[in-house]
Amino acid sequence: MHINRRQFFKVCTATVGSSSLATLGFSPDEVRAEVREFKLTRTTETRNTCPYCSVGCGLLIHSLGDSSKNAVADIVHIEGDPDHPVNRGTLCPKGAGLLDFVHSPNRLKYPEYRAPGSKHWQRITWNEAFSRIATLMKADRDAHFIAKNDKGQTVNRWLSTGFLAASASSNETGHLTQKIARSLGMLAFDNQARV
Amino acid sequence: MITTPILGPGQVEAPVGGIPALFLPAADLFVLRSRRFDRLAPGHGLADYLLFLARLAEWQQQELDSPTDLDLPDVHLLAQCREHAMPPLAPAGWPRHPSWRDAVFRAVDAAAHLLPAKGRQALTPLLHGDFSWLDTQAHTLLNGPAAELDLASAPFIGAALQVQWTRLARGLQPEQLGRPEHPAICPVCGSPPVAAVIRTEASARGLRYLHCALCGSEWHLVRAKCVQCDNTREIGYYGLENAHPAVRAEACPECRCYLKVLVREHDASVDPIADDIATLTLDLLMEEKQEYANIGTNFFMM
Repeated sequence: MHINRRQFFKVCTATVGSSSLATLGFSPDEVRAEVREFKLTRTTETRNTCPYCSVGCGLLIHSLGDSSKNAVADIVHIEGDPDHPVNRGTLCPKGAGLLDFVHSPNRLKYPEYRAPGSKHWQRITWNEAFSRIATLMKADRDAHFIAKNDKGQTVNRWLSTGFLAASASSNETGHLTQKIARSLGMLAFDNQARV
Repeated sequence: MITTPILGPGQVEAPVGGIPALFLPAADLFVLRSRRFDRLAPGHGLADYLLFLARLAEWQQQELDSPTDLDLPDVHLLAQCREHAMPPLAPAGWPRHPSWRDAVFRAVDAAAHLLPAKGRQALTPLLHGDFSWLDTQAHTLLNGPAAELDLASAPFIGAALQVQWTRLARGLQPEQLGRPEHPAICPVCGSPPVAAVIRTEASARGLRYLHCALCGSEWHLVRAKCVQCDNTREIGYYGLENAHPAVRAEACPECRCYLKVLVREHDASVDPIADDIATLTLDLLMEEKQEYANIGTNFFMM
């Protein structure tokens, strides 16, 4: 830790009685009393990226609660990050409404499944969702994979399934998404960032 | 036939440019501070002290407005400092002009009548000290060690030094200055910050600037980041419940340090030095209840 000279000049409850304030004859008693009356409030600021589009605006998210003390965190304010080179603190109307998006009662928080012909969504676990997606992808790929074209040239195409990726992904996520989709032979591949 | 000219880019509103790295002190720095002290005083636990400091800041403005002949570093030294990101007006490398010592006594004349009797008595060492004693005290105020500081004279010496360095800083241009590697060092004079301000004007809206304890310059630092150790995780903003809504202590759980942040959007008249003193209760609570140490320096709260 970098110690600057302020550490040696530190005014605290014990030393306020010998600070320049008190040495010049002013009384710190009322401030001492306020220490017992006032409570501290605490928020945090966290950087993130707007999930909506390819612009990728920087966000500052203000939240209450202390995750290190297992208190329930609650997001109280979201603003554009003034230091972010893309948006310099600004947000579009969708981005400006992010707080309502976060707290929306209609927000999807877990995987749901609607059986063919059914009118009802049913909640399933993440494991069920992943297994079902993987099983269906494999069945479709096994049935429709094109290894060679009419001329006998190797093409390794899978044209019957497409992939739509998320826009607020990191470079690493984008790299992995590309590798997975292309290595399966998928050609219909797009990104929410274009929408 | 009347033709309507088509507006070009930038004609309605200046295009968004880069982030201004540095704001040199404004011409009305001290008068605004004086008014802020006056506004904070009524009903405050430290009302008398705030009124005393209001008078001291008013004197600082009078001094700043009066003509003097201070020399600035020559262009070669400035260019060299810029190239190596060194603060050209650092007190260790830029000698104090002897006029600051006369200024200390003018400061005492201007504000000492607002001191309680005990405080006027405490000024005896200052009023009877010779020039070398004064120079030693100025050096101690700027560099430590704290044990040798005469606490009663610190606000007067600090006020006089602030005027001299603010005047020097106002003689420079932002593009003449480099950016020191450590973010807690003033690019103009190398001093620590008092507190940070989140500004509201168009070119710097929402950006955080650290306010220099000595020369009053303000330099940019990315928000939500520890000034001392660059940490960006779990930065906490502590405030007083139902009081001083524009002042928060930005605290880093990694190095257990904090620096106050003043949000102009909540109160346009906040002043780093005045509001730092008016929120002394926040300091006491931070150090007592949270065991955080303040990394800001304020010559009027030593």
